[in-house]
Amino acid sequence: MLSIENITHSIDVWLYGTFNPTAALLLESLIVGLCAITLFAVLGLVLVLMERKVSAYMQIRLGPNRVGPGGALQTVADTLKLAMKEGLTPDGADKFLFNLAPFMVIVVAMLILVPVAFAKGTQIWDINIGVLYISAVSSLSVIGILMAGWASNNKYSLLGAMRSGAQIVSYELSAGLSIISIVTLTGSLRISDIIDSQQDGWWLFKGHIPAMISFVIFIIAVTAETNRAPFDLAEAESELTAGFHTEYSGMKFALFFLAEYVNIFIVCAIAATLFLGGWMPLHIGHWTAFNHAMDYIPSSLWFIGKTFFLIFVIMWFRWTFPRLRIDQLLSLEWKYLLPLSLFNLLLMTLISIKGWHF
Amino acid sequence: MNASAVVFYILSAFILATGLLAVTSRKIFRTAIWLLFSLTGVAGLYFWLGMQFIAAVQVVVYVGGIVVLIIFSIFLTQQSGKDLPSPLRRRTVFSALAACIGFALTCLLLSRYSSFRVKESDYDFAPDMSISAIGNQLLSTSEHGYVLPFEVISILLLAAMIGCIVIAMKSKPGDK
Amino acid sequence: MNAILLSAVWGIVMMFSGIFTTSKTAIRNVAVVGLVLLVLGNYADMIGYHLMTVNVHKMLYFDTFGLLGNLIAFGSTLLYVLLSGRDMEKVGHHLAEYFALIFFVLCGVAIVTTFNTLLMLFLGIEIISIPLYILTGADKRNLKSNEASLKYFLMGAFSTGLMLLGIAFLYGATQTGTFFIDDLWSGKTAVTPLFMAGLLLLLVSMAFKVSAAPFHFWTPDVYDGAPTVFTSFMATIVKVSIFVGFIRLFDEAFGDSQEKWQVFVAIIAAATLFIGNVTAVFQQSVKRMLAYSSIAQAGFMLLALLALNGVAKEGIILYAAAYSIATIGIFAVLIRMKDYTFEGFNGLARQQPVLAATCTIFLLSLAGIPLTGGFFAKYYMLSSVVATGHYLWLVIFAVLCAAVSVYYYFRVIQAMYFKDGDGATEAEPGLGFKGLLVVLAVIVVVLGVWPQSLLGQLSRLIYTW
Repeated sequence: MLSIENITHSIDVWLYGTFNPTAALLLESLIVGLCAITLFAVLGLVLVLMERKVSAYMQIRLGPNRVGPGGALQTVADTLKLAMKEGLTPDGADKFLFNLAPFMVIVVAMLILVPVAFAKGTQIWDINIGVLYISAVSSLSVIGILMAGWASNNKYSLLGAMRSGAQIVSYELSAGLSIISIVTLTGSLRISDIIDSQQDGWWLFKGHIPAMISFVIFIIAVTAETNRAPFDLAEAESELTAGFHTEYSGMKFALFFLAEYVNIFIVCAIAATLFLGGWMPLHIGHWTAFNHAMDYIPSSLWFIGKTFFLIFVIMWFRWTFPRLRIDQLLSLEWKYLLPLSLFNLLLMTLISIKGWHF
Repeated sequence: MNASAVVFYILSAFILATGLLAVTSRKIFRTAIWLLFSLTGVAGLYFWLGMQFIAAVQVVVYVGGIVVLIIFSIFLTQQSGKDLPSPLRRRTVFSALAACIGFALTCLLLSRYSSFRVKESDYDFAPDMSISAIGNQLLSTSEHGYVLPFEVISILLLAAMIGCIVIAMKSKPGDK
Repeated sequence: MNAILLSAVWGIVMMFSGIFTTSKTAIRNVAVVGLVLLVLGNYADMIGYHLMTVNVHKMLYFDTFGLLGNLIAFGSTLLYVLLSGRDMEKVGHHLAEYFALIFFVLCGVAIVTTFNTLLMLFLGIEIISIPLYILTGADKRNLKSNEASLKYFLMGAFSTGLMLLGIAFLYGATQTGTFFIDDLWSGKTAVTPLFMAGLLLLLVSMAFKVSAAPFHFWTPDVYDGAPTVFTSFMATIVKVSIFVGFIRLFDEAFGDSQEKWQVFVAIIAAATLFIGNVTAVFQQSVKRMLAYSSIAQAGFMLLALLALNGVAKEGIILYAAAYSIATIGIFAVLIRMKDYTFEGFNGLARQQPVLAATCTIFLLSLAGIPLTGGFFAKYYMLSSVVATGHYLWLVIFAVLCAAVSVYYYFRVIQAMYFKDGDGATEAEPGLGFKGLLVVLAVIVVVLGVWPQSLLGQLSRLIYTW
């Protein structure tokens, strides 16, 4: 059967058979890098189009529909426009940091991609600290935003960056605790172990109510971490023009924009991995026939389907909830979500010790 | 020189260069950013050693925690964009002297222990560095378990947390 | 172990008591009950009764010296809370939290006095320090208090860094990689430059924590800026407990390389005695004078570290008791005063004869006048150094410094008795307060008149256990 796993494996065998190990490793790194960059570009194009189409659907209108069939090439045109725009650097800005910030944000997004399992056996590095690595590296993304806000030498940018920083640092706690509550069930941080443990059902269903609570908390927390509405205080246009990227234009702005969408994809992929089994098809306990039938759908489709479903949910939020005020946002985290996730973690630990999960 | 050694030298050069920039930069925000890169480089070194857990902790604690804290405090101070006044010559001399002494001490130690090599047989007893082994050791009540310090640290953190709240809590209006 | 468990649990109890009641008297009573329990629990530990069996795997070692140190710390805290607990309410609104922090400090004290690995020493010192940073800044509206807190925090963090570096060096020096202080003994670890670097860094950081010169610069500002109630706590209980840990560390870990580091301690002790005593002479505020006097007293306690013999260990226990009780007493009176300068004490004897009389006894004890506990404490310190046969110059120097100290202690007595003025307290002190002061004064005198009986007990305990 043709699957991504077989393709990657045969490429690997061929490379190591033809070149010496060092060269083969370098070539593999190169291929992986190219794939990641391509993925980024494709994701950017698809997600921006999806955002606009979903928004249009929510507002009962058509959305972009002139460029290409049904407006499908709209984002390509937008990208061309952005690429040809002049990249301004404001006077009085710290030019070095100003130009470094967008790259920092993009590099961090790329680093988080490392342990994500896209399909069965398709993972860049199955690192043994898997989810810990993800939460560690994602804490880096705040630096790029703070850097951008400060280097712009603009009040709005600075305020936006500070809000964003406070928000990301706070909501990281809840996201981390939700991840830990799944880790107590799997007993491993490795992504492949987490997916394997969901062979007979996804944790969302196997883990009873605590798993559902932590799923909801995780989704809320990552919505805030990616600065999406209703938590888009950092770039609240009515208050702060455009937040930390007010001063950016052209390709540098495009990089921020791209990083934002890639981050959404990544957090949704992680949520899908932890709670919905990643590439694992929908299996139910010991219904062997049903499980086999499900296995016929390729694992990569499962992964992409789950991830895009979650992305759709997050886009849905944007048109459903009103924006919070900054103090409401912080008290939501510190006074409600954090105690709730701590208590939930305790409950989950009890369940996993007693073996009450399925 | 194999690829591993090349990676090591690249990482070390990165750490040293950014560290040097962090000390010599005249803009305080840039200093924080250089420090960030230096600390990330150290995390890279841990990855290179195969100590993934320590690397992740390095990133979480230093980069995600401490540098963000530093940046926030820079934001809250006035005139963070101005160049820092250049340090006194006397102070520069003394700090250079201190750095030299530290360097000399390190060299002395290295020369003393340069014959000290990990024997092949030691690898058998090398501790298991996987995260579950670390976790078990940390909470183990057996001979080399660290559950007592772990609990003591929890008291320490509780005390610190109460302290933070006492400092941050607003007094009720109308009082004193 | 009883003490560590009880103090940690009672810290949490205090924290919750703030939620369940707003009555300050109730909160204070809960704290007093906790302290009584602590004293009893620690005594129970000494006679061999343990609340629960915890196998600490030699990370802690409960010997008599450490447990006696605990007993003195907890006993003095009890007296301190009984005397000055009421004044803590004036500092801020978070009374329950202040008590919780004090209990956590005591937990740290119990660890520092009984540690057996450098890891536990570090944790204990940190548990002591962090609540103290907060207590120093408890008076949030007072800029001086804020400044003191920040200064203390920054300097404290710096010295903690030095301590960690020292511990890391020693960890490397053992070659086998261990934190146990028994393994630093010379049979197991060679005295290499790495070892000496670690030792010196530990010496510096501990000297910093007990505010010995030349690492004392934070002390006057912090003691002066902190709310007076908490200055009293920091200058007495915390300081002597860290001293117990200090002596424990150098006795158990570095005892056999003594001749290598003795000279450093001698220099530090001489500097501390000189700076503490001479600077105290020039102070105008009694509170600041007491801060310098606490540096000077630390100089005397360093003599025990220098000698590290049986006399020194007995003596430091006696010194801890005499110094803590006398200083707590003086601070309790000082807190009640309107004016903290020397002039503020003018004519206090006429207004408040009991306060003035007890204060005189405390000051005499601090100055080391015979018939008070302070005399024998100082005598033991000096004789311990004489017993080593070296450093006679330091003994003579210490006696001279003690003579200088008489000047500034007597200045307060002179102000109280021989100067006219309206030295007045803020409110008329209650009968209980006066009674307790008298009890403290009696303890100080008993320590001075019959130290033999107490020391006999002590030496029997130390040598037989």
